[in-house]
Amino acid sequence: MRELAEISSRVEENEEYFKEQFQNAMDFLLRQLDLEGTRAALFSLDGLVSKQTITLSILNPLMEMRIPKGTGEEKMQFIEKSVLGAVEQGRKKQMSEILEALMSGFAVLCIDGCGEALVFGVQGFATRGPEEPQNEVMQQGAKDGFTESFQNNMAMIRRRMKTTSLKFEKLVVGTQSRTPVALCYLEGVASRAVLEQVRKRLAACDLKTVLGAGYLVEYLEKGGSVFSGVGISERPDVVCGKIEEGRVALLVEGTPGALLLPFLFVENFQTLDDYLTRPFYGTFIRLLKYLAFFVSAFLPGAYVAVTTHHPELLPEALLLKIAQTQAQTPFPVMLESLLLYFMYEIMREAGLRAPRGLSTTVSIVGGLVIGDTAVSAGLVSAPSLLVIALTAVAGYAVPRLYEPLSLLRLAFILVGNFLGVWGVMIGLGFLLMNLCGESSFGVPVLSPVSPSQGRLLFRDVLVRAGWKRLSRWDAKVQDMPGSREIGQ
Amino acid sequence: MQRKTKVSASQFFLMMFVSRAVVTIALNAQFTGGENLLDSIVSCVGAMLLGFLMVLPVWILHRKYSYLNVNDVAKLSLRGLGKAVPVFYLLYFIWSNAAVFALFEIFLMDTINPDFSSVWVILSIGAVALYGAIKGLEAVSRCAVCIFVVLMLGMILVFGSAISRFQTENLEPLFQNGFHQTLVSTVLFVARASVFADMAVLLPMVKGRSGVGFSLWNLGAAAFLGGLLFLLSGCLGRYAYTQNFPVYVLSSLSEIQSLQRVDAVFVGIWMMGIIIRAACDIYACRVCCSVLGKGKSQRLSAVAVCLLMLGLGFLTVRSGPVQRVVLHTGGQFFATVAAGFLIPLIVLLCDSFGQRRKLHEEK
Repeated sequence: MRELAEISSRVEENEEYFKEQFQNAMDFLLRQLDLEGTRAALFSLDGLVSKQTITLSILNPLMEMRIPKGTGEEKMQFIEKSVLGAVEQGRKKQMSEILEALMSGFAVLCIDGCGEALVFGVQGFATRGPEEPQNEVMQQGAKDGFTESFQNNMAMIRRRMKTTSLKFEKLVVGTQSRTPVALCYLEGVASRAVLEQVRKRLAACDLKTVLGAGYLVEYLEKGGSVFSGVGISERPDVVCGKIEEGRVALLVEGTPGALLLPFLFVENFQTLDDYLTRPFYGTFIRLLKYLAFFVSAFLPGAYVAVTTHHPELLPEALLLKIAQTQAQTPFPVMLESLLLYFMYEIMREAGLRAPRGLSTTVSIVGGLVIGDTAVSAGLVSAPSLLVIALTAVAGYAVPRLYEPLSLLRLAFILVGNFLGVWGVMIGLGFLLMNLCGESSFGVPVLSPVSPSQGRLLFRDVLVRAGWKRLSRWDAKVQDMPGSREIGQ
Repeated sequence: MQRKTKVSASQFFLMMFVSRAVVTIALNAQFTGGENLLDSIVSCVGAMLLGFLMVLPVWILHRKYSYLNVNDVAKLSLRGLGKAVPVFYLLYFIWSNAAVFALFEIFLMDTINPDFSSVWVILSIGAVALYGAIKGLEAVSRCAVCIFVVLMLGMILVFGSAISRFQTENLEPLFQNGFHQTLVSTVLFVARASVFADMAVLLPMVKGRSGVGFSLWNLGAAAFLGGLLFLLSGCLGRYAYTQNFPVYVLSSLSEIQSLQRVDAVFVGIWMMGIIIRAACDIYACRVCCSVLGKGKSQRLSAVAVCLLMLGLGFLTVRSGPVQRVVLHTGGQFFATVAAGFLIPLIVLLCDSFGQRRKLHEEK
């Protein structure tokens, strides 16, 4: 296959090149034209462009307008200035750029005798309209969420932040997929060092294909952390709030969400609803979420540890109840807990993957029938079932942490069984050390808890202060205690 | 030689406080040298005053060379002999942490007697401490701040509930058996404080008001120790004398409403403290090794040091003669004074004489 670095001034040669490149591609469209004796060709890809727009805005004017005689270059200039009026249009010479434009829904016009092509933005592919995000449900917030089109997503952010400081920088990732990514930030607010680092890390991404934002997370965070230093949100209002605090958002084509950097551990507990309700209730909900996190991570491990090694820690009445139920089941507490844990995770996965119509049935069969039957049959004890169920439900109070939490639970069950409460404490020590040792783009992930700053702790961590207090100073993420410029 | 890692003075001294509290928990009447624990309260004040005195050479060196630790200054002023200083600190940290591990294992085997091997618990603690040391001083100090909060809450919970058992009749008059116990306890409290050695090695990595930090640490540690001894005397009386780990006994007597035992919480907090102390000291060993090995294979040195600490700790528990050496209060006292006071003093003097000689030669 021959290579053409730049577009040729001979249309015939260009036609041959494109036909060769798009051999066996039935979506490749070629329309040959005669412009007052000069040969021209219009290239596009079916499904990516709007045929109606092409007909009305390109073909009809070209056919109807009297184009003055002259060289190919003169004709191209006339067409560009006086005939066509697409909002997004420009000249391109490099073949790689032209091919990328073609595959992004642009139409390409070549004229004999002109060494440049004219490209028009005539995208017409189907996109999903904004819908309420499924994974970030809010009680009071807006009901629109990001879609798969990053242009639409940019518009959703721009609509909420009408400032010229809002920047969208275009980057491309994936050597084969050439996936567009928009680096979104507020100029003068976001840290230059963070921006530079994001650009650098994305440039170092050597993936061939990027089909979703998740592909990039590994390239953006340092390995070895239990909790991610990169956040994701499906909500434009949340992303706007984060951008305002100096964070950088990455909108990846094909992902109905935005990556947020740097991302702190406490942000996992913050939802937009906290800020839309009254401060005392926001604080109460925040504290509940912290409790839910601890319950979800440590309860099964602590339950196994206490019932197996330290029954003396339990009040007598409760101990007797547990002992009574345990006496009727064949498995030790750890095995029982593991069994229930895996059963729950399988049911959850099945509920997620099952066709929509069946997911309710799966939940009922799994949750009620299997759970109830297992207890009635004496296979597992009711307290164990209660603990695992409570843990699972608590995990959904902090949905962003579900993935690490589900694995932590398993680890704590095992460690609790082998080393008792002390094993759980050692595990907590490890987790704390891991959290304290990680940073996201130079900002310690546990900031402002440790390194701590009282006013920040009582502003938006332990307490959700009122808006009058919150608006009193600009809290930029790069100014969190312990932060330092990356590379220092 | 300028170091990039910087922790704030408050973080560093909170980390030191946690390290100090850990050894305090393992106090007993045999170590304090008498039956009346109240006499030891006076020792807290004595140890505190000695602390202010002992820190002076390190402090002066730090004022003189804020970005160099004692090892670096020794290397500059003592040349070839200077290499002995980081080696001494390495051995000191290995010894003092082996003693901490050993005391905890003795406690597990003697008092708790769990239905699983205590070796696994100690190994797990060592592994987490090593992980922390590899993560760096910032990670350890941040973690220490969190553990400090947990420690304080836990202590309030455990000892707050024990306070109902406090009886003034248990308090005996001070110095009724002379001053011997006060003297022994003072030696013990100084012997078990690794803060001076830690400061000698890690102070250049501390930013902020270290002087205020140390003063508050010294006052806080004395107050914590004094308060604990007062509570022990008042709640347990002479019973404390018969126990190997009276602080644990006090925690096991605590009841919070229907929770009849909270001692596991206490042990958990103790373990977290050991993690911090060991992690900080392994990191300090890394710094010493970097002086000896010109900054090469620091991670490997951390692993080796951790294994040595654990190994010596296990040996201490299982061998009588080794135990007598490692847990010997007099030996520990001498080592602590040497690491925290004598060596920095010698380095300081050599550095001053060296400078004077240089000036003289220049003239």
